[in-house]
Amino acid sequence: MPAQQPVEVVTRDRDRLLSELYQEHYRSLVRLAVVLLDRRELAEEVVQEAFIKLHGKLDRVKDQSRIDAYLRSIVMNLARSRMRRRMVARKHPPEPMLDAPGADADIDLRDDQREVVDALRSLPARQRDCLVLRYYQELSEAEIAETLGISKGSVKTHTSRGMAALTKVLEVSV
Amino acid sequence: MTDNERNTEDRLRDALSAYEQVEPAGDAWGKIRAGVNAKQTKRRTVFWSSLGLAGAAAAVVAVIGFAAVRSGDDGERVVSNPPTIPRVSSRSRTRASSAATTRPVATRASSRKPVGRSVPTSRRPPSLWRKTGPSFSVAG
Repeated sequence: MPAQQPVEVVTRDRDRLLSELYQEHYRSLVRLAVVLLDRRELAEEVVQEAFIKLHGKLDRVKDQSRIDAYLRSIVMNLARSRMRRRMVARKHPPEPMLDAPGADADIDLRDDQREVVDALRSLPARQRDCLVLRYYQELSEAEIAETLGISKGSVKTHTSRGMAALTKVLEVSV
Repeated sequence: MTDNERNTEDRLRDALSAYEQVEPAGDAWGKIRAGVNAKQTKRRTVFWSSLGLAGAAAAVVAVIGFAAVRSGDDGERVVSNPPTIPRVSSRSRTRASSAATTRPVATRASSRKPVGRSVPTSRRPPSLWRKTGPSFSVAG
Protein backbone atom coordinates (compact mmCIF):
# COMPACT_ATOMS: atom_id res chain seq x y z
CA MET A 1 0.00 0.00 0.00
CA PRO A 2 1.44 3.40 -0.91
CA ALA A 3 2.37 5.46 2.10
CA GLN A 4 0.12 8.40 1.19
CA GLN A 5 -3.02 6.31 0.66
CA PRO A 6 -5.65 6.34 3.42
CA VAL A 7 -5.43 3.20 5.49
CA GLU A 8 -8.52 1.06 4.98
CA VAL A 9 -8.35 -0.93 8.14
CA VAL A 10 -11.02 -3.40 9.08
CA THR A 11 -11.31 -4.47 12.69
CA ARG A 12 -9.15 -7.56 12.32
CA ASP A 13 -6.41 -5.61 10.57
CA ARG A 14 -6.64 -2.92 13.20
CA ASP A 15 -6.10 -5.51 15.93
CA ARG A 16 -3.14 -6.96 14.05
CA LEU A 17 -1.65 -3.51 13.47
CA LEU A 18 -2.11 -2.58 17.11
CA SER A 19 -0.46 -5.81 18.18
CA GLU A 20 2.52 -5.09 15.93
CA LEU A 21 2.83 -1.56 17.26
CA TYR A 22 2.65 -2.94 20.79
CA GLN A 23 5.46 -5.42 20.13
CA GLU A 24 7.60 -2.76 18.55
CA HIS A 25 7.02 0.33 20.67
CA TYR A 26 5.39 -0.47 24.00
CA ARG A 27 8.58 -0.87 26.02
CA SER A 28 10.29 2.26 24.69
CA LEU A 29 7.13 4.33 25.13
CA VAL A 30 6.80 3.18 28.75
CA ARG A 31 10.39 4.22 29.35
CA LEU A 32 9.74 7.58 27.72
CA ALA A 33 6.68 8.07 29.91
CA VAL A 34 8.64 7.09 33.03
CA VAL A 35 11.21 9.78 32.22
CA LEU A 36 8.38 12.31 32.09
CA LEU A 37 6.19 11.03 34.91
CA ASP A 38 8.75 9.30 37.17
CA ARG A 39 6.35 6.48 38.13
CA ARG A 40 6.34 3.23 36.21
CA GLU A 41 2.72 2.35 37.03
CA LEU A 42 1.46 5.75 35.98
CA ALA A 43 3.61 5.62 32.85
CA GLU A 44 2.17 2.22 31.91
CA GLU A 45 -1.38 3.51 32.40
CA VAL A 46 -0.65 6.42 30.07
CA VAL A 47 0.88 4.23 27.37
CA GLN A 48 -1.97 1.69 27.58
CA GLU A 49 -4.48 4.50 27.29
CA ALA A 50 -2.58 5.78 24.25
CA PHE A 51 -2.84 2.36 22.55
CA ILE A 52 -6.59 2.20 23.30
CA LYS A 53 -7.08 5.70 21.88
CA LEU A 54 -5.03 4.83 18.81
CA HIS A 55 -7.15 1.72 18.11
CA GLY A 56 -10.22 3.88 17.71
CA LYS A 57 -8.42 6.31 15.43
CA LEU A 58 -6.47 3.97 13.17
CA ASP A 59 -8.95 4.48 10.34
CA ARG A 60 -8.25 8.19 10.39
CA VAL A 61 -4.47 7.92 10.20
CA LYS A 62 -3.79 8.85 6.59
CA ASP A 63 -0.15 7.83 6.46
CA GLN A 64 0.71 4.43 7.86
CA SER A 65 4.40 5.33 8.13
CA ARG A 66 3.49 8.02 10.64
CA ILE A 67 1.50 5.83 13.01
CA ASP A 68 4.40 5.47 15.44
CA ALA A 69 4.86 9.26 15.52
CA TYR A 70 1.13 9.62 16.10
CA LEU A 71 1.24 7.09 18.93
CA ARG A 72 4.21 8.88 20.49
CA SER A 73 2.39 12.20 20.31
CA ILE A 74 -0.64 10.68 22.10
CA VAL A 75 1.70 9.45 24.85
CA MET A 76 3.33 12.89 25.16
CA ASN A 77 -0.05 14.63 25.35
CA LEU A 78 -1.43 12.21 27.92
CA ALA A 79 1.75 12.46 29.99
CA ARG A 80 1.60 16.25 29.88
CA SER A 81 -2.02 16.15 30.94
CA ARG A 82 -1.19 13.82 33.86
CA MET A 83 1.67 16.10 34.91
CA ARG A 84 -0.65 19.09 34.85
CA ARG A 85 -3.18 17.21 36.94
CA ARG A 86 -0.46 16.24 39.37
CA MET A 87 0.72 19.84 39.67
CA VAL A 88 -2.83 20.89 40.53
CA ALA A 89 -3.04 18.05 43.03
CA ARG A 90 0.22 19.22 44.61
CA LYS A 91 -1.36 22.59 45.25
CA HIS A 92 -4.16 20.81 47.10
CA PRO A 93 -2.37 17.80 48.58
CA PRO A 94 -4.46 14.96 50.00
CA GLU A 95 -3.50 13.08 53.14
CA PRO A 96 -0.09 11.44 52.57
CA MET A 97 -0.22 7.72 51.75
CA LEU A 98 2.41 6.04 53.86
CA ASP A 99 2.68 2.94 51.72
CA ALA A 100 2.86 4.80 48.39
CA PRO A 101 6.14 4.28 46.51
CA GLY A 102 8.33 7.34 46.13
CA ALA A 103 9.36 8.99 42.88
CA ASP A 104 11.43 6.75 40.62
CA ALA A 105 10.94 3.89 43.04
CA ASP A 106 11.58 1.43 40.19
CA ILE A 107 14.70 3.10 38.85
CA ASP A 108 18.15 3.06 40.35
CA LEU A 109 19.74 6.39 39.62
CA ARG A 110 23.15 7.52 40.85
CA ASP A 111 23.20 10.83 42.67
CA ASP A 112 24.65 12.69 39.69
CA GLN A 113 22.03 11.16 37.42
CA ARG A 114 19.28 12.07 39.89
CA GLU A 115 20.57 15.64 39.88
CA VAL A 116 20.29 15.85 36.09
CA VAL A 117 16.82 14.29 36.02
CA ASP A 118 15.56 16.66 38.73
CA ALA A 119 17.00 19.62 36.83
CA LEU A 120 15.38 18.35 33.63
CA ARG A 121 11.98 18.15 35.31
CA SER A 122 12.30 21.71 36.56
CA LEU A 123 12.37 23.02 32.97
CA PRO A 124 9.32 24.38 31.12
CA ALA A 125 7.30 21.55 29.55
CA ARG A 126 8.23 22.24 25.90
CA GLN A 127 11.96 22.48 26.64
CA ARG A 128 11.86 19.31 28.70
CA ASP A 129 9.90 17.42 26.01
CA CYS A 130 12.34 18.50 23.30
CA LEU A 131 15.37 17.46 25.34
CA VAL A 132 13.87 14.08 26.23
CA LEU A 133 12.87 13.32 22.65
CA ARG A 134 16.24 14.49 21.34
CA TYR A 135 18.59 12.93 23.89
CA TYR A 136 16.63 9.90 25.02
CA GLN A 137 14.58 8.88 22.01
CA GLU A 138 17.31 10.17 19.65
CA LEU A 139 14.71 11.71 17.32
CA SER A 140 15.55 14.21 14.61
CA GLU A 141 14.26 17.78 14.74
CA ALA A 142 11.64 16.90 12.12
CA GLU A 143 10.42 13.89 14.12
CA ILE A 144 10.26 15.93 17.32
CA ALA A 145 8.32 18.64 15.49
CA GLU A 146 5.84 16.05 14.22
CA THR A 147 5.46 14.46 17.64
CA LEU A 148 4.88 17.74 19.44
CA GLY A 149 2.92 19.38 16.63
CA ILE A 150 5.26 22.37 16.39
CA SER A 151 7.64 23.70 13.74
CA LYS A 152 11.24 22.57 13.32
CA GLY A 153 12.36 26.10 14.17
CA SER A 154 10.50 25.93 17.47
CA VAL A 155 12.11 22.57 18.23
CA LYS A 156 15.55 24.09 17.62
CA THR A 157 14.74 27.05 19.88
CA HIS A 158 13.26 24.95 22.71
CA THR A 159 16.14 22.49 22.56
CA SER A 160 18.88 25.11 22.72
CA ARG A 161 17.11 27.13 25.41
CA GLY A 162 16.44 23.95 27.35
CA MET A 163 20.05 22.90 27.16
CA ALA A 164 21.22 26.34 28.29
CA ALA A 165 18.73 26.34 31.18
CA LEU A 166 19.71 22.82 32.20
CA THR A 167 23.40 23.78 32.20
CA LYS A 168 22.62 26.79 34.36
CA VAL A 169 20.62 24.77 36.87
CA LEU A 170 23.35 22.14 37.11
CA GLU A 171 26.06 24.81 37.52
CA VAL A 172 24.12 26.40 40.36
CA SER A 173 23.61 23.09 42.09
CA VAL A 174 27.39 22.40 41.92
CA MET B 1 27.39 25.08 22.11
CA THR B 2 29.71 25.81 25.04
CA ASP B 3 31.92 23.25 26.77
CA ASN B 4 29.59 23.36 29.71
CA GLU B 5 26.61 22.61 27.50
CA ARG B 6 28.50 19.77 25.85
CA ASN B 7 29.21 18.41 29.29
CA THR B 8 25.53 18.81 30.20
CA GLU B 9 24.58 16.96 27.03
CA ASP B 10 26.78 14.01 28.04
CA ARG B 11 25.40 14.04 31.56
CA LEU B 12 21.85 14.19 30.22
CA ARG B 13 22.41 11.21 27.92
CA ASP B 14 23.98 9.30 30.79
CA ALA B 15 21.12 10.08 33.19
CA LEU B 16 18.46 9.18 30.65
CA SER B 17 20.20 5.95 29.74
CA ALA B 18 19.41 4.77 33.28
CA TYR B 19 15.76 4.49 32.19
CA GLU B 20 16.71 1.63 29.88
CA GLN B 21 16.48 -0.60 32.94
CA VAL B 22 12.70 0.04 33.21
CA GLU B 23 10.75 -3.08 32.30
CA PRO B 24 6.97 -2.93 31.80
CA ALA B 25 4.67 -5.32 33.64
CA GLY B 26 3.76 -8.50 31.77
CA ASP B 27 -0.03 -8.15 31.51
CA ALA B 28 -0.06 -4.87 29.56
CA TRP B 29 -1.41 -6.35 26.30
CA GLY B 30 -4.32 -7.96 28.16
CA LYS B 31 -5.20 -4.59 29.70
CA ILE B 32 -5.04 -2.88 26.31
CA ARG B 33 -7.28 -5.56 24.75
CA ALA B 34 -9.75 -5.21 27.62
CA GLY B 35 -9.72 -1.44 27.21
CA VAL B 36 -10.29 -1.69 23.46
CA ASN B 37 -13.16 -4.17 23.96
CA ALA B 38 -14.77 -1.98 26.63
CA LYS B 39 -14.54 1.03 24.33
CA GLN B 40 -16.04 -0.89 21.41
CA THR B 41 -18.88 -2.18 23.58
CA LYS B 42 -19.55 1.34 24.82
CA ARG B 43 -19.51 2.68 21.27
CA ARG B 44 -21.92 -0.05 20.14
CA THR B 45 -24.24 0.65 23.08
CA VAL B 46 -24.20 4.36 22.30
CA PHE B 47 -24.91 3.60 18.62
CA TRP B 48 -27.91 1.36 19.33
CA SER B 49 -29.23 3.73 22.01
CA SER B 50 -29.00 6.63 19.56
CA LEU B 51 -30.69 4.53 16.90
CA GLY B 52 -33.49 3.60 19.34
CA LEU B 53 -33.93 7.23 20.36
CA ALA B 54 -34.00 8.32 16.72
CA GLY B 55 -36.61 5.63 15.97
CA ALA B 56 -38.75 6.70 18.91
CA ALA B 57 -38.48 10.35 17.87
CA ALA B 58 -39.45 9.44 14.30
CA ALA B 59 -42.45 7.48 15.59
CA VAL B 60 -43.58 10.43 17.72
CA VAL B 61 -43.20 12.80 14.77
CA ALA B 62 -45.15 10.38 12.57
CA VAL B 63 -47.97 10.10 15.12
CA ILE B 64 -48.14 13.87 15.54
CA GLY B 65 -48.08 14.37 11.77
CA PHE B 66 -50.78 11.78 11.25
CA ALA B 67 -52.93 13.38 13.92
CA ALA B 68 -52.42 16.80 12.36
CA VAL B 69 -53.38 15.52 8.95
CA ARG B 70 -56.41 13.77 10.40
CA SER B 71 -57.51 16.87 12.24
CA GLY B 72 -57.21 18.83 9.00
CA ASP B 73 -59.39 16.25 7.28
CA ASP B 74 -62.59 17.03 9.13
CA GLY B 75 -64.58 14.47 7.23
CA GLU B 76 -66.40 17.15 5.41
CA ARG B 77 -69.17 15.89 3.26
CA VAL B 78 -71.23 17.96 1.00
CA VAL B 79 -74.91 17.92 1.69
CA SER B 80 -76.47 18.10 -1.65
CA ASN B 81 -79.89 18.44 -2.92
CA PRO B 82 -81.27 20.26 -1.20
CA PRO B 83 -78.91 22.01 1.20
CA THR B 84 -79.97 22.85 4.64
CA ILE B 85 -79.83 26.35 5.86
CA PRO B 86 -78.57 27.08 9.33
CA ARG B 87 -80.79 29.38 11.16
CA VAL B 88 -80.88 30.87 14.56
CA SER B 89 -83.90 29.71 16.40
CA SER B 90 -86.08 31.81 18.60
CA ARG B 91 -84.07 30.60 21.61
CA SER B 92 -80.90 31.87 19.97
CA ARG B 93 -79.91 28.30 19.16
CA THR B 94 -78.46 27.53 15.82
CA ARG B 95 -80.49 25.00 14.03
CA ALA B 96 -79.93 23.41 10.72
CA SER B 97 -82.93 22.03 9.02
CA SER B 98 -83.32 20.19 5.84
CA ALA B 99 -84.91 22.15 3.08
CA ALA B 100 -86.53 19.01 1.78
CA THR B 101 -88.16 17.78 4.93
CA THR B 102 -87.87 20.96 7.00
CA ARG B 103 -86.89 18.72 9.86
CA PRO B 104 -83.93 19.81 11.97
CA VAL B 105 -80.72 18.02 11.10
CA ALA B 106 -78.64 19.22 13.99
CA THR B 107 -80.70 18.87 17.07
CA ARG B 108 -77.91 19.59 19.52
CA ALA B 109 -77.12 22.94 18.09
CA SER B 110 -74.98 25.27 20.11
CA SER B 111 -76.13 28.64 21.14
CA ARG B 112 -73.45 30.30 19.08
CA LYS B 113 -74.49 32.33 16.17
CA PRO B 114 -73.20 31.81 12.67
CA VAL B 115 -69.79 33.37 12.10
CA GLY B 116 -69.01 34.26 8.55
CA ARG B 117 -69.81 31.25 6.48
CA SER B 118 -69.54 28.78 9.36
CA VAL B 119 -72.15 27.82 11.88
CA PRO B 120 -71.16 25.71 14.84
CA THR B 121 -73.95 23.29 15.53
CA SER B 122 -72.63 21.27 18.41
CA ARG B 123 -69.62 21.01 20.66
CA ARG B 124 -69.37 17.26 20.87
CA PRO B 125 -68.92 15.76 18.45
CA PRO B 126 -67.58 18.89 16.78
CA SER B 127 -69.86 19.66 13.97
CA LEU B 128 -69.82 22.55 11.65
CA TRP B 129 -72.00 23.71 8.90
CA ARG B 130 -70.31 25.65 6.21
CA LYS B 131 -71.50 27.34 3.19
CA THR B 132 -69.54 26.13 0.21
CA GLY B 133 -70.79 27.67 -2.93
CA PRO B 134 -74.46 27.22 -3.40
CA SER B 135 -74.65 24.30 -0.99
CA PHE B 136 -73.80 23.66 2.62
CA SER B 137 -71.44 21.05 3.85
CA VAL B 138 -71.28 19.40 7.19
CA ALA B 139 -68.07 18.59 9.05
CA GLY B 140 -68.51 15.76 11.37
